[in-house]
Amino acid sequence: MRIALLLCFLYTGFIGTASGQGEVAFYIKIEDGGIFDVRTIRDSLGQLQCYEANIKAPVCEDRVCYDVNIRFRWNLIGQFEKFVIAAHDPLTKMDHEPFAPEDYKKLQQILSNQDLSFVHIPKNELVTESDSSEVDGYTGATKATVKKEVIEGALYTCYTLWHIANGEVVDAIRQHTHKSLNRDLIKKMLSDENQFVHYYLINWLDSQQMKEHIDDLLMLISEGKGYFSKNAIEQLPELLFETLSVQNFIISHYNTLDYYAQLAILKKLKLVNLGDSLRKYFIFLIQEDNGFQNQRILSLVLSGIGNESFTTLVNHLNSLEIIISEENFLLIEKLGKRYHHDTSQLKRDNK
Amino acid sequence: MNLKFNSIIYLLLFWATGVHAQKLATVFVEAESFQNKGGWVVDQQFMDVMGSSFLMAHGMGSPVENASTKVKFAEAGTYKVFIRTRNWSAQWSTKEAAGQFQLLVGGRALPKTFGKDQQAWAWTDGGTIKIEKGEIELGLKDLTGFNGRCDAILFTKDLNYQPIENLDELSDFRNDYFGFDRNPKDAGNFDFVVVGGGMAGTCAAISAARNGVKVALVQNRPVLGGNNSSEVRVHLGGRINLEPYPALGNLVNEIGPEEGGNAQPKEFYEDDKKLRAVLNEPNISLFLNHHANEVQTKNGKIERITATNIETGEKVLFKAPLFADCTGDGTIGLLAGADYMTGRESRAVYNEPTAPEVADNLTMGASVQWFSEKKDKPVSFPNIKWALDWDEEKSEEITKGDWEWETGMGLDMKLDFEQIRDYGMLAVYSNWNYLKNHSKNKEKFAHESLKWVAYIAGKRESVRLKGDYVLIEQDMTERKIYPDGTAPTSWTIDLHYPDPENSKLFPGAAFKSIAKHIKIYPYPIPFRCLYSNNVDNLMMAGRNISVSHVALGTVRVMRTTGMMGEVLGMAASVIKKENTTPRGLYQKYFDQLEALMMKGVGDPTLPYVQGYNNGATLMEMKKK
Repeated sequence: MRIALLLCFLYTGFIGTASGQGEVAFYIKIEDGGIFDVRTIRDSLGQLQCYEANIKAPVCEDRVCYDVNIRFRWNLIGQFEKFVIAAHDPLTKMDHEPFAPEDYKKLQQILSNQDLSFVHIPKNELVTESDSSEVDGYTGATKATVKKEVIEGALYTCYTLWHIANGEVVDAIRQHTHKSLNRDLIKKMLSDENQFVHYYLINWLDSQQMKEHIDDLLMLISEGKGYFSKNAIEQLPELLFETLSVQNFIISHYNTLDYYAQLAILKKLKLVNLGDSLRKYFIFLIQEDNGFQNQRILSLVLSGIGNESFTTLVNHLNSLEIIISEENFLLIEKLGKRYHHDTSQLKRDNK
Repeated sequence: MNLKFNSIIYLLLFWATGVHAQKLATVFVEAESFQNKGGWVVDQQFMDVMGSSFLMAHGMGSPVENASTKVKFAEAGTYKVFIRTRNWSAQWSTKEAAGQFQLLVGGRALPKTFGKDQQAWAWTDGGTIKIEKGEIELGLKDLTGFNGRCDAILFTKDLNYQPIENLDELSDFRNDYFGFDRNPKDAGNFDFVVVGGGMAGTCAAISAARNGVKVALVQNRPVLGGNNSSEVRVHLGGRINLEPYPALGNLVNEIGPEEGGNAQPKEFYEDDKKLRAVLNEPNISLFLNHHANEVQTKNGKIERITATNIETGEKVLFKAPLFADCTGDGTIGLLAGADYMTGRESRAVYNEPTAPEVADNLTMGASVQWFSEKKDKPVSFPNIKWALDWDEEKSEEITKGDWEWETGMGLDMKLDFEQIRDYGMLAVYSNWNYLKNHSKNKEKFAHESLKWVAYIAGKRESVRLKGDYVLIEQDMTERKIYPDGTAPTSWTIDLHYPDPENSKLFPGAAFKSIAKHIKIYPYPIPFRCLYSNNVDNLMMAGRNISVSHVALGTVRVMRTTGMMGEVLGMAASVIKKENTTPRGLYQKYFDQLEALMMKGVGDPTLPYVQGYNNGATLMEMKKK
């Protein structure tokens, strides 16, 4: 953010020089009938890097209208990154007063903030009607909640630019990036540190792409913050959970993942065949102090269990005196008969 | 505390009880029971400490309209008059008294001015007066507009009478006089009694009701919403609709105000919206103006609670197999003998990086917010002599006091709360007095008029009841997530401390605060933090859940406390269905609660309009 601010004061003279760099990818119509082209910017290797657009939008602050000339930049998933304005064509507030450095700083914060309330208020309700000619610099009084969020005297500039920066263009960029996804671009995005990019990948990659990049995806899952791991696991196709690499990953990482990621893994594994080592791993995960997960794990290891593993399981349950839910107990009884194994010592939950 | 008929016929009552039949005629009148309260307000905040709710003349510098009531005297004669009152400003100033008033008997003022004598609550001798037999009107005439307070008035023909100062004895006297203890009203049987009608309690009641549970909701103010009501005016904070239970919070969205902002006009807080939501639930019986102050337990379980009507003094009994303490102060837990925590734990207790080396009694404070409005003509403000010493350096040239007008850190949020609230008001009045009457810039404030000063102070922290688990800082910063996670807390770990600048100007008595924040990822609060570890049928939601002082910093905001309530209501339905306890739910039926949390109880179709005050979170972080 700080870098962007420095740039916006230093950058001069690009506006009017045709359409800037990059090739035009698509165009976006804005509310009042205007239109702007969105161009792709590539890195030194020719790989897609970000998107830019030069925007000209009419804005009226109170009764004074002017054209805002500004360049916007978005990242590969449509998040607003920064703006650039020409030194000779500054943004202005009420009465043509040019933006001060702190106003630009605040504008950057506003444009990259998804948590503002004033942007959800219809434009004609931003101010309340008032008889006095100048309250807060407007003919009408700005609502108190709105006032806190915007630059004083530049309410409509903030409002208009936020909607351009965070409007239709976001989805258009996502679609465009999706169409452009190739091995190298995915690789590059996987190494991005922005978690929203990771979320984009788990939501937009197809099964084949996930399979191809499974090692990187597992790495992200092991390091995921918040609920990323859980969400990523939910998005991975079931088939991948049958592979040795994923089952081994589970053995080495299950215990360090958070509870909700663990739950997601158990749910996925219900749909696939467990390898012997993974089944054994889960059998020994059943512990006295693991009340919540025991029954879920038990029901998982019981599905498709062979004679040898069953013996291991029953011995383990007996030795730790694990309490077994009604449902699992009945299943074990049935399997005991099939495998001629005595299960009468097991502890059944009599709740 | 009083009868619903408000006028008291002493002799009839005493004949009925037969206890004091030999004594001389005495007439006891509770001020909060006055039929017409005029501009006086009912203040119940300290009744557990000083014995009663009372009437207060909260005029912000303009004397309020008289309060009046009709009282019957069965005997004519000369009566001695006492008023239970205090001089609240005396603890900070010996110059004059802030809240002064007179007693009107039959329209004529007694010569005595009340509220200027003793600092503590006590009976002030009002002299003698001749009274005719029959009905007579009593009035309270405010003289100053600065929070004069009247608890009760006593007339007696026993001219040597010594009024009762001991609180227990006085309480017995009141109960005998009005016959309350012998005749408590039974509110009926419920599945679940929720005490406290803030966001947590209100959501708990609605959530339980929608899940088929018969609920009593007991709130000690005339409005619902607690800190988010128009009485305190703190906006909701934190995020809703978060993983792992995105449907949690729809209820907060449904009943919460659309507009944000602290210390805003009354309408911002939409008291009616919360009330309507509760009244729309056939399974809820709502008891506004009832302060729960007695708990009866048996074998580690609460059997019943008793609440006192803050205006009439009537007592009401509530029986249920399950209770929720959403009082914020852990009132029910404390009365039931629940384990609790208070102040700041030392680092040794939980190894929390933010905890102090040595434990202390510092809590976060209570806010007395305020604002002024601009008038067409200049407006005066009394030049008060009892203000704190003030000068240009101390003066704050502002027209609104937000959350940071916070006092009482280090004091006891229950025992000292009247002092805490009063000091908050004193600071507001002292600054305003300076701006209006002394400041070099007083012209700038000439048209400004104090519009609102809170008299219900907004508490952040008092006691925390101990659950089967105590949530700590590292659980959130290191994301130790437990399988019994419920409502996610998302606000920063936001701890308040006395403002260092303000502390320099007012050593040991700061009335402003600063906040320090640690961002977290949304974190599901373990269910084990939401029920008591030693009172088997007590759950809790709100700021009095089982968390360390540091962890309280995040869970205390009201979208989060609302979601805790939502979870409690769901838990109540599982507990009812399985005939178990909160701990039993945790041990055996948590999957059922999980299923309800997935579903939520709020209307999922409503748009999220409460865009305000979501708070910073690591979830938003764009770059590592």
